[in-house]
Amino acid sequence: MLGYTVRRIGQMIPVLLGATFIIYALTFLMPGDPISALTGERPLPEATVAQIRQAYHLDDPFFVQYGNYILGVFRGDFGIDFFGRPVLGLILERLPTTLALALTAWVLKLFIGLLIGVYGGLRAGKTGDHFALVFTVLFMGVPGFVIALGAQTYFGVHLGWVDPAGIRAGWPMAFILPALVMALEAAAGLARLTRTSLVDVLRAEYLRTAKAKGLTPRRIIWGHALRNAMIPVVTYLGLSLAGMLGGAVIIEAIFNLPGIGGLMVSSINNKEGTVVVGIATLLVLVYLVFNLLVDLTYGLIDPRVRI
Amino acid sequence: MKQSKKIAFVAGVASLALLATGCSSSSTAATGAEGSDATLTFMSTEPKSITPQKEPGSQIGMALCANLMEVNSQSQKLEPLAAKSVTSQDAKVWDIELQDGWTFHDGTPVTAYSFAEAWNATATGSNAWQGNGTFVSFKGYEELNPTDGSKASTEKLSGVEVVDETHLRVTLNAPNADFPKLLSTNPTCPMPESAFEDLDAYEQSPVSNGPYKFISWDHNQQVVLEKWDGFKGAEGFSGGADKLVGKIYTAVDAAYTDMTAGNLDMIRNVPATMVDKAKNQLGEQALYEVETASKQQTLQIPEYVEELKSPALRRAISLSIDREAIAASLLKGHAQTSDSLVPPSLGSYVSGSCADCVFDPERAKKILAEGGGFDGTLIIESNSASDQQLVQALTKQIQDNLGIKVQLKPTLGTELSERRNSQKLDGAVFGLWGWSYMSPDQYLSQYETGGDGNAVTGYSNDKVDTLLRAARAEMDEAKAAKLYTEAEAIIVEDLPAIPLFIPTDYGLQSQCAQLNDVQGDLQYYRAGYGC
Repeated sequence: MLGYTVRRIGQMIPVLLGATFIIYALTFLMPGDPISALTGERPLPEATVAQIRQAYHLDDPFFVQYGNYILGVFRGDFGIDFFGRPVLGLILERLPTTLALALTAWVLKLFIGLLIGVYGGLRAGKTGDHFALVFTVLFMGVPGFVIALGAQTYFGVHLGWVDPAGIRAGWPMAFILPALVMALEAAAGLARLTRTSLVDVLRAEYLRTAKAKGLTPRRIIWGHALRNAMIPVVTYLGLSLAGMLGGAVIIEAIFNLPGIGGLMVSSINNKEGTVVVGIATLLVLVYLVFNLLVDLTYGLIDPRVRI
Repeated sequence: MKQSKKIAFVAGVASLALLATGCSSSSTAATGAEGSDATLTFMSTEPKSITPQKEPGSQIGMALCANLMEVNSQSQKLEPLAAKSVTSQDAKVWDIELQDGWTFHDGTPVTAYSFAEAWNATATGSNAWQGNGTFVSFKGYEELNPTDGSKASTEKLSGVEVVDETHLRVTLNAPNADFPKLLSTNPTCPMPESAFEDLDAYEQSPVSNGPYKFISWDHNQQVVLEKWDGFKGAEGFSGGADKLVGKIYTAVDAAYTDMTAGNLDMIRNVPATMVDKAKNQLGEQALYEVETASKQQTLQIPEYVEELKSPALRRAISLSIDREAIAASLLKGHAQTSDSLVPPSLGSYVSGSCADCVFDPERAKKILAEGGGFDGTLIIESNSASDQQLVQALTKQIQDNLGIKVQLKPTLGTELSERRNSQKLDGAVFGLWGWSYMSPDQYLSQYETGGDGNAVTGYSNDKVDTLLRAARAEMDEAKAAKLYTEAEAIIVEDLPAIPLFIPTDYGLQSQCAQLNDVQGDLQYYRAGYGC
């Protein structure tokens, strides 16, 4: 187990290097000149542009630029943006907001999704299951930003229960509404997956065997059915948390939560290469780590894949 | 046993969640002190920098700094503030006398050195501060900013001389009567000696000499400023709030929603699409209309695009645009039509100086036919992130009314800037221009060879250059305006830019805030407090 984990961590290094290289190359290839665009329509004097380009090594060939960047990263220096602010600082400033939002949403999603999914799975074909279906289809079908804007106007402006755009309120008040919106949308998928998986497992022969052995229904459902049904669900849960960290751009913008997503979008627009690569690398890393966690969790649930 | 492992896993995730969220909530706990006395909140984005020399457009920088000259919001005139006087005989060598006994927020005196050293640092190209361009007209700028990428041979602007503690003498490359106006902009703010000991620390906690002093900056959340009781300027240079809080938003829509919920007092640069919505939801009194129009939208035509060189074609294009109709329908009346290369608020403006800036499709077709017609495609470039509907409307009008092929080419802002500045545009380009300070020169220097913004069109005309130089050297404002008018009359013959609209600027205010603009620039800190 330990050897396996170490090996997996070792494999992350080439993946990370490859990812940073591709992302760096893509930002390099993006059209436009970041320095010309710094001051909008009113151009900077030529001399200033030349000086800034030189200060940021923008006239060096691509491989020299990338080499400098990677060497810096190994020294723990993720570079600076065009205002001279350290990229690592910019990311760390915004990371807590994104983490708080993603984890709150993920935990809410876990409860809502599993509850509905298990309920639907156990009552497959009955009225309760149909209600669960309608609920999930509704939240999967309506675009997230519509729900977000509606919830913001109703709970934030009309009822005034929460600040509609209030990062200043801190956790939980600033995060509960956006997290709930994200959770409801994502819970729909989770519920459907859990239900299907559970229905499949309930039809399996080993459950009939369990019943024949005279086990109590509670023991059958908790100890055998759910445990087996959870295997695909755990994969989904792990990777969806990684996805939520990078994919909350729209929700972040609507509820004014200054997270990683918004920073990524504005950095792409301004061609802030070092920031884009920094965030992308972080997200790739998060994905890899969660992938590893998911694989390790399998072993806890399913002894057959234990290494 | 296995059961308990599972529970441990879930508990682990939950504690991870608590850890992450807990750490973010502790950093936001410092709020809640708002609403003490006369507090006004304004919309801000996360500042790239609050040092005025680095971010020339910073509202926070403006509140922190008292410039040598500034517009008094009561008289709406440019008056000396941190200076006692700014004078010159020839508009080239300027004598500046500072006020006696003025200090920075920390009590250290504001001296001639405070200005000279800040200017030297800002004008040094290798510092890469964005206020750098302000000093291009100062003697010695070239030495600090070698274009070939070599190291600067000096650290000081040779044109800035400290005569004594309270006297500065500035020598410019060429006479410029607008120099006192230049001294009202953010990049010319002074910096205390302590700033240069640790510029990074200064960046996070700036000390300046203006009506408001810096209290705190919670990144991505808020910037807090407080009225400084040591400020010696007149009331027209300050504002009514005891405390100013810049709430940081990632988008103006979120700020607007917060305002409808009663959590925000001021928004500037309100998008045109938001104006009518705001009027309905927040009421007429929430809308502040800036009277002095400072911006203009034009269709610029680069001289280097060969197929658009014909003056007949340019005139025909201008005549085929129904500005009135677009202003009334698409822009919902939040813009005036433009009939000159400068906005009407400027002294040199002459109504109708652009004779072809009216709608006359018949004449347009006739002029085009007489001028040899046009069988190519007119390409109109624009920033894909702004004003797309407007550009589409223009395209349709030119196409329908003139019967020529028009193609839109929207590109990303970063790409468009590069193409514009390196003269690689494929056709005409839709653009917005505004002034840094109120002067015809800010608009017309685009048409001077090598002038500010000249790269876009590359327009060059000896007669215009001579007139603009003469206008700049003229200390009498009325006489200067006449020269600017003359220059414009020549430029408009060639239509290097087709005037389109003068957009109206709006601000939004809560019941407590009374917005104020100074010569068309809406500055948050100038707002009165009315609660």
